[in-house]
Amino acid sequence: MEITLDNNKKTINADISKSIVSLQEKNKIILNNLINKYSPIIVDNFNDYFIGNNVINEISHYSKYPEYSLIYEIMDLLNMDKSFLERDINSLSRTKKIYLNILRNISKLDEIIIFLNPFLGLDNYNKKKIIKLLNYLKEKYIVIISGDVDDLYRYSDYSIVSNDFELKYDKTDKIYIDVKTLIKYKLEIPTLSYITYKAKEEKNVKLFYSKDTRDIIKDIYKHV
Amino acid sequence: MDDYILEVNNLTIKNKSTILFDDLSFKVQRNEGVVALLCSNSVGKTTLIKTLAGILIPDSGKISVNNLLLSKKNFKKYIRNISTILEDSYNYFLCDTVIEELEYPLINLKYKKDEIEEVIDRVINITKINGLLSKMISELNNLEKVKLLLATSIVHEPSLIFIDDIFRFLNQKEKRIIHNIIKSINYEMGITFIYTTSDINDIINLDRVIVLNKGKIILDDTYYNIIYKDNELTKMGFEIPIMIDLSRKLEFYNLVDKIYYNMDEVINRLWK
Repeated sequence: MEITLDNNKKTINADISKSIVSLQEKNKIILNNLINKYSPIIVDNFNDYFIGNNVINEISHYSKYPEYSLIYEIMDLLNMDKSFLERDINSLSRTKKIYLNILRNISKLDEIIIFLNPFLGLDNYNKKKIIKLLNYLKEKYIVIISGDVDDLYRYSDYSIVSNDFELKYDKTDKIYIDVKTLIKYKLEIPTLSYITYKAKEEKNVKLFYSKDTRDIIKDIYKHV
Repeated sequence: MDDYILEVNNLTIKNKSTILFDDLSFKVQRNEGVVALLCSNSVGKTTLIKTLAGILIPDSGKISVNNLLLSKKNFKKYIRNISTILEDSYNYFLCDTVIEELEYPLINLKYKKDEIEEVIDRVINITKINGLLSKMISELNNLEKVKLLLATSIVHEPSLIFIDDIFRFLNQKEKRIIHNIIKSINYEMGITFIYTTSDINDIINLDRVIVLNKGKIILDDTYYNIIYKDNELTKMGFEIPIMIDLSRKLEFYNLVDKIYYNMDEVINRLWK
């Protein structure tokens, strides 16, 4: 599917099907543009207002005809058994509330789902589950992520960045290794891209760009 | 003589039939300042903080603050010694404006008008919320809300503040601002902080970190000693921040000799 985004001077059409598309938090204009144009589902980790007594009740409040087969698939993916549906909301931990927030939103089904800060407050174990979920969803829906730049670089397929006047849209690797553009747009730079950029700029050492710390270490070892 | 601000003895907390914390004992000295309880997700961080704060009753064990045992008889005195910031606090403020929120507990404690002004002046200087006083609470961003929570928690000058992982609502830059404010409050007012977190970024440079896993204390040491147990931390589900991970791997190959938090310093160390 293609989405169209515009700002002051430019419009881009982005084919974001089967991709995890990332957007830095600072790019509020593009995010609002996306929300206004497509009215997507927004899964926000901060939203913990629940009206149901228990999980199943909450999901029913949120969606008139919840897609239970999908809910079961996602619960399976998140290593949750069906007894979770009977749990009292007040007895849920913060992490389980994040999972409930995902379940109740996804039960509505829609073309575009925006995950706002999906990894915030999660330990590595739970973060891996969310990454698994995002990768699963991209086969069916379009998933847009915003948040921590190191995570965006590591886990997304495509990235959109903007300085409110220009838009850039490309494979993540290309955007996030284009450190000069990120600096120009005053956007965050992934730590691993920054080390490669700095080594070249300041020490004339040519390292490879990589999303994996171990690869960078091996490369540094060769050059030191 | 040891001067303990908090003593936890043989504390057991259950959630129905599940044991969340099993026979937990630790003591915090007044001069320790800021102590973190590092726990991975869903281990019962909120339940532990609520129990220490006297909101929930433990299944067994004793808790004392300032040598005052938490009990039905001492309850009022106990809670005057502490403040508690829960995760939910972030969404539930009592008043409409920042200034009203700050004044509210002091009015309840029957402070006089000039005393209220004096206390609030001090609090806003330490927590750096000067620009927020006339704002509506609904206008505040995440960082400002956390600053306000800290400010309201210190107005009655407690000895100890329990915080339940409010940092999770903040990005790394905002977290650094809040941790600096916590250090200032500790330095200026002598208030001890005990907070839970699941993020290693929240424990950097602390003199004491207690790592809890499966209901038990696994590690109790300084940040510097704990971070060198990165393999253990990873096994417990904690994510090692990227700069620490990078430094530790570079250390393994004898390319650096300490943990770096600044990329420019790493580059200069590697290629002098």
